[in-house]
Parts: sequence; structure tokens; C-alpha cells
Amino acid sequence: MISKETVLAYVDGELSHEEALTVEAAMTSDPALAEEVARHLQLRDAAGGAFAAVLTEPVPERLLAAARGGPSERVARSALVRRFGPPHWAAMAACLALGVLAGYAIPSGPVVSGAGGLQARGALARALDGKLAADEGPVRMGVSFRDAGRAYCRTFRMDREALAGLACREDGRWAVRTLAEVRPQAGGDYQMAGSAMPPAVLAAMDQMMVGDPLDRTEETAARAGGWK
Amino acid sequence: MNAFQREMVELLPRLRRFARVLARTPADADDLVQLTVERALARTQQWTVGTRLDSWMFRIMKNAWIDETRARRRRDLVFAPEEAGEHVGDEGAARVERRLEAVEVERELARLPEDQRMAVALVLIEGLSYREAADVLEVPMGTLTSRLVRGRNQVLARLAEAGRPV
Repeated sequence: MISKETVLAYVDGELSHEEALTVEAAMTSDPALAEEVARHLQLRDAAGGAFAAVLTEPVPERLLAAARGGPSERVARSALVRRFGPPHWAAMAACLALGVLAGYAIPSGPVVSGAGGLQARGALARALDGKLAADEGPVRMGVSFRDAGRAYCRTFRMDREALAGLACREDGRWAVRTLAEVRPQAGGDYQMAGSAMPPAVLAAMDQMMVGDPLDRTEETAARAGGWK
Repeated sequence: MNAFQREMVELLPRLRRFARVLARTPADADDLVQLTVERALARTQQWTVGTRLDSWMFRIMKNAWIDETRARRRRDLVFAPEEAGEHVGDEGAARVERRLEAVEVERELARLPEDQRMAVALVLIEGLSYREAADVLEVPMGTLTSRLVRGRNQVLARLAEAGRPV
């Protein structure tokens, strides 16, 4: 039995790796629990979205003046810790894997739910369009290949979000077929070797790939042709 | 401007956001931000270098807000009417639905008791960890988590009642 506190701690990214696995295991056999997690994830995003506009509003001059009007110069070291993405990404990935987030768009996230399922957008969509396998960046490409319908598919990793996945070209967009969390390795190290992929992504790739992966030349040509 | 002030200027958008959750109107919220900034500047010496400035300032804002609302009650003033959604900008039709949901979530958050509203805002909107949020609110972890459970389930229940489950 998973308590309400534990459900929320899972959604908020407060659980340890082992505790999170326990919740995810329970979710697979308890649809009601999976739905509860999904509802809380959606509330979390809706709440963030509700107040997001404030951040981009111009700050009134009187507040800027108040902040500047302090005591004279003193030494203070920056202590602001920039968070690496919302803490609930892992939970989001688990819900996507279970299909309980269907029909739901993640505000400002790398995927959006469209008529044909999840689609890549923003930085992820741009990387899928333009990056080659060895390119550096916040979104890194793994393997490119063709599926049974001759459509191009690509695996990708987003280190900041600790997510990896597989997307295929469909009607001029990148349909995200698989999305999985990149788990820390033993010792808590997220920095796995460049192209390492979670087992779920590798399994999906093995299942879908027809022929060999594209080599550098083929990949470059496919990009030049707009992945058609 | 010194480094402390520069960081504070950088924090202003987030301070304004947290203030919006606490205060009922954007104008009240900005007054609260100004009060917070002034208090922070007067107490610069109390801030420990190397700790998070955002948590420290949220705590000052929380206390400023409590002082302010108590003073208001003593003066027997009523709050301005709710203006949730007032700052809905000029948006495309495709975003109206999402904005509508946001407005309703915003309204339900506004109906929560203050202690729950602050806990929910710090964790869901400001992205603080439980430990950080408990420190800002100056309550034990158990108190924080029970406020989070009650507040969030309340919002979800009311949204479902209104026929708009998120």
C-alpha cells in the first residue's frame, strides 16, 4: 500500500532511487495508483503554468530601485543553485511509459501530446532535425535507422532532464515512441558514456530497426533530405 | 550595485511570482515584494554567505506577509476582491483552454488555507525541495508534508467537482 505522502513525494522527486522503483512497480499493477500519480503530475504542471507568466513580465521600476538601493558594496558570493529541470521528470517518464498521460501536454516540456500521440517539440525537435550522432549539446543523438515503414527513427538523450527516448518521422514531425528515465549508475553518476541508452530504449530500437543503423554519410544525407 | 543586490534583482521575478500566490491582487503582491526587498537589505548581515538567497528571501516574504495580514485584520480592512485571471494577456485561441485551466487552478489555490497555500506554492511553483520549503516556513518536515497532502487533494477534489479534473 502506497501512502498519499509517498505518492506526492514520488511526484515531487523526493524519493530515493529504490523507493521510486517501489512506487513504479506498484503503479504497473495498480491502475488507480498510476492515475493518482498522473493527476498529481498534471496539477503540478498546471500550478506552475498558472503563474509562469509573472516571470516574463517586466519588473516594475520601483522594485528594481528598491533592490538596488541597499548598503554599499560588500562581498557576497553567489549561492543561487540552479535546479536541473523539474524534479518530477522521472515520474513523468514512468507515467508516459504506462500510457496514463495520454492526451496531456507537458507545458514547456520536450514533448507535446498530439492527434497521433506524443510529438517532439522545442529543443528536442530541433536536435532531431539537425544534430548528427556525435554532436555535443543538451540533446544528444544516438542511433539513426529506418523502421519497417521506411521512416527514419532516431534515439536521443537529454542529460539535463535525465531522459532518453526514440522518435520516428511521421507526417513531417517527430513522433516520440519511447521515453525513459536515464537512471544514475552505481555511485550515482549520471554521466554515462555518450551513447548509452536505457534498456527500454534499446529494446524499442531492436524491435523497430530494419536493416543496419545509418552511418555518418547516410545520416548526413538523410538530414539534408529533411528526413523524408 | 554590489553582488548581493545583483542577485536580489535577479530574484525579483521569482519573488513576484511567490507574492502573487500569497496576495490577492498584483498590486498587493508587488507591495509585498517591495517590503521584502527592503527588509532583506536591512538585514543583509543576517544572511549567511554560501546559503541559498532565494530560500532566505522567501522566508522574509512569508514573515512579512503574516505581519501584513495581521496588521490588516487589526485595522479591520477587507481584502480587495479576487482578481484571478486579471493578468490574462492577449493570447491565441489555441491557448485559451490551457489558460482557462490555469485560471481555475489559480482560483482553487487561492481558496486554500494560507499555510497549505504557501507549502503548495513553494514546492509546486517555486520548485523547492521539502527540506528547503520546511526551512522557509519554519515548520517540521511532517507538518510540511501533511499540508502538501491536504492542500493538493483539496484542489484536485474541487477541480473534479467543478467538472474540470486536471
